[in-house]
Amino acid sequence: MERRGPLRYLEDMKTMKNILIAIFMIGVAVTAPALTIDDAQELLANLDTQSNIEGSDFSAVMTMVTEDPQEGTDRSVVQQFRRDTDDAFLMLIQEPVIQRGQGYLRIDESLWFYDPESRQFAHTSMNDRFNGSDANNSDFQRSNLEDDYRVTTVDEGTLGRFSVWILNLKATSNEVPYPTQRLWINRDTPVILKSEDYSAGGRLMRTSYYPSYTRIQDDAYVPTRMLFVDALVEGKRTEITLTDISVQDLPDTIFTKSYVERVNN
Amino acid sequence: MRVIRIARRNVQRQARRSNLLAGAMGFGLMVILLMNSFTAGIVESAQESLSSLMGGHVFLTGSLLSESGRTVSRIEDIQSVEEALPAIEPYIDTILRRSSTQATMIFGSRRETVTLYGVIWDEETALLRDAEVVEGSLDAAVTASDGLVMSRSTMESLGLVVNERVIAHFSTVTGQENVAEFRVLAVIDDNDATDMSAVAYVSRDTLNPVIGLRSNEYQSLSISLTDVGTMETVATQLETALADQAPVKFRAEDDGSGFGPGVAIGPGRFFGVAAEEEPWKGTRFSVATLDDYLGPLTQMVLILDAIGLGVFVVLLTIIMVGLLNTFRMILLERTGEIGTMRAIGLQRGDISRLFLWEAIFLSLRGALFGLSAAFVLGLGIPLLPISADGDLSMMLRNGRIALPFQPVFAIGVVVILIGAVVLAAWMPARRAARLAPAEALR
Repeated sequence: MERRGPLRYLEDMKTMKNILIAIFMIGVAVTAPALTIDDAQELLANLDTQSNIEGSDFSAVMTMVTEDPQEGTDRSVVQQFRRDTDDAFLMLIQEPVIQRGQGYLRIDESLWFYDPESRQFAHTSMNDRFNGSDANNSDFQRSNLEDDYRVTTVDEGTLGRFSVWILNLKATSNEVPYPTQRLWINRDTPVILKSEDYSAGGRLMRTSYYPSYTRIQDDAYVPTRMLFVDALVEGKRTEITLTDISVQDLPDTIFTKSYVERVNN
Repeated sequence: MRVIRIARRNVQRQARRSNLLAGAMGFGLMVILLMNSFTAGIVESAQESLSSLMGGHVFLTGSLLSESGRTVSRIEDIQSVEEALPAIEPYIDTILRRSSTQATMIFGSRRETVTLYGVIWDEETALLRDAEVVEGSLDAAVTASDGLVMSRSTMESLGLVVNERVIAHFSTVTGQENVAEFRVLAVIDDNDATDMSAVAYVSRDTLNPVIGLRSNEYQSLSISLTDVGTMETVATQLETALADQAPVKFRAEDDGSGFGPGVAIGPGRFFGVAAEEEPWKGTRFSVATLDDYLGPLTQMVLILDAIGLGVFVVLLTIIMVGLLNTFRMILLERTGEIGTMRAIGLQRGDISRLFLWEAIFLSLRGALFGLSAAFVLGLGIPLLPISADGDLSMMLRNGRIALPFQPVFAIGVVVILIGAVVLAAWMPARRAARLAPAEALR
C-alpha cells in the first residue's frame, strides 16, 4: 500500500533537490569554457611569454642533484645567467671543484662548451644533456613552444590537487629534439606542471615535473624546482633547485667568450 | 790493403777502449732507430685501426643544409656519386656505404656510448672475414633485421648476454631524439678487425629509418684502395669528378671547424651550424683521406721524430768530442810508432788513411752494436701487452707496441754515424800525417 503524507512529501522534495543539483552541475560542466585547439595554441604562446623574461636579465644559482644507478649521486652548483631578449645564456659550473670554470655559453645561435683545462671552446648541441644530468641544454634557453609545436589534442584532467589542461603537441619541424610532447598545464595560473617528451618512434624518453614556481615579473614565472626523470635508464633522475634569483640587468660582457675564459681562472 | 789491415789491428789492440766507444755510438744509434720505429709503428697502427674501423682509405661524406641553416650529414644525391666512381675505379679494392650515429646503449640502468654503424652486410667482406666472433653468430646477425654485432667489452660493461635486447638512444640526422631496440646476436673480440670497443654494427636497412634517412641513402662512402700510396691521387680525382656534377667542399677549403673530415665518425659530430659559409643546394660532398684524419697524430709523430733527432744529434756530438779526444790520445801514444812507419816508407796520406780507417772500423763496430740492440729490443718490446683504452689503443697493434724496422732510415743513420766519426778523426789524422819522422822518433 502506497504511503502518503508529510514524510513522503519531504522525501519527494529531497529527491527533486538532488535531481536539480545534478542538472545544475551537468549544465555548469557543459557550459564551462572548453579549450579549443586554437585556444590551446594561444595558451602555448602565453606559456612562452610567461617563461621568457623580457626587458631584463635573469640570474640564479642552480643546485643540481643527479641520481644515477651507474655513476652514483652527483651534486653540482651552477651559476645561471640568462638574457632572453638575445636568446643568450651562460651556465658556469661552480661545484664540484674539479669542474669549476667549465661553462656553457649560448650566443649567436651557437652553444659553446668551455673547458678551463684545455682553455678551449668546443661547439656543442642544444640537444645534448647538460653536464651528464637529465636536463637538456635546451631546457635553459628561452621557451619557444609556440613556434616549435602545434597542439594536436586538448584534454582536461587533474594532476594532484590541480585542475589542468593536458595538451598533446607535435613538432613543427624535424629539428626539434622531441617530436611529440605532452604538457600538463595549470588551469588557474597557466604554467607547466608536468611534461612528457617522446622520441620520433613515440617512446617516452623523459618526464619532467615543475612543482613550484616563483613570479619574478608581472607576468613571468620561473620554476624554482624541477625534476627530470629519465624514462630509458631505470632509476636515473635529476632534481634542480633555483635560489638567489635576480632580474637585475647584467653587464654585456657576461655573455662573451672572454668573460668565460677569465672568470674562475 | 796494408793500411786497412793495420787499422783493423789497431782497433783490436785497445779492445776495451774501442768497445766503450763503439758501445756509446751503438747506444745513440739504437735510441734513434727505436724512436723512429716507434713513431712509424704509431702511424702504421693508427692507419690500420682507422682503416679497419672506417672501412677504407678514402672517405666521401655529404651534407645538406636544413631549412634553419644547419648542416645535416646525408648523401642524398646518390646518382652523382655513382657517376663519379668510374673515374677512380682502377684504384678501388672495396667500397662500403655506411650510415652511423653516436648511440647510448642502455640495458637496465647500465649504459655505454658507441658508434653504431648501419652497414650493407654484402659489402662488409673484410669485417665478416676478420672479426673474431667470441659469442653468437655473425650469420644470425646478418640475417635478422634487428640483429646487432657488438664488441665484447661493451657487452661486459652492459652486463648483456647474446640474444638479449638492448635499447639504443641516439639522435636522428636532423637532431631529433629517438630510440630503437636491437637484439645482440654476435659478439666480436675488441682487438681484432675493428680494433675499437666502442663500435656496434646493425643492418643499414634497420638503422636508416630510425635516424631519418631513406633506405638507399648513406652518410659515408669508404673506399679501400689496392695501393695505399695512391690515397692522395684518388682523393683529388674523386673531388674533381664530383665537382662536375655537385657542390664540393675541397679539402684545401677545410677550415678545421670539425665539420670536415671528422664528420665521418658519427652524426653526433655531423650536426652543426653552418656558420659563415656560402649556402648550397642539394648534397655538398667532402672527400678525406686517412692522412687527413691522422693530421694531429702526424704532427705528434713529427714532434717525436724531431725529439729523437735532437737526442741523436746531442749523443753524436758527445761521441764526436769523445772520439776527438781519443784520437788525440792515440796520436800522443803512437807518435813514436808513426815516426817508425814514416821511416820505413809510409807516406803522409797512408798515416792519415790509417787513422780514418780506424775511425771507420770503430763506427762499424758501433753500428753493429746499435743495430743488434735495436733488433733485439724491436723483437722483444712488441711482445709485451699494453693496457690502453680509447684513442691510445688505436696507436697499438693488437694491444702491443708496433716497432716496424725501417731499413732505409737505418742505412741513412749508419752512414751519418760513420761520416760523423770520420769527421771527428779527421783533425787528429791530419796532425798525425804532418808529424815529421825525425821529430816523431825523437
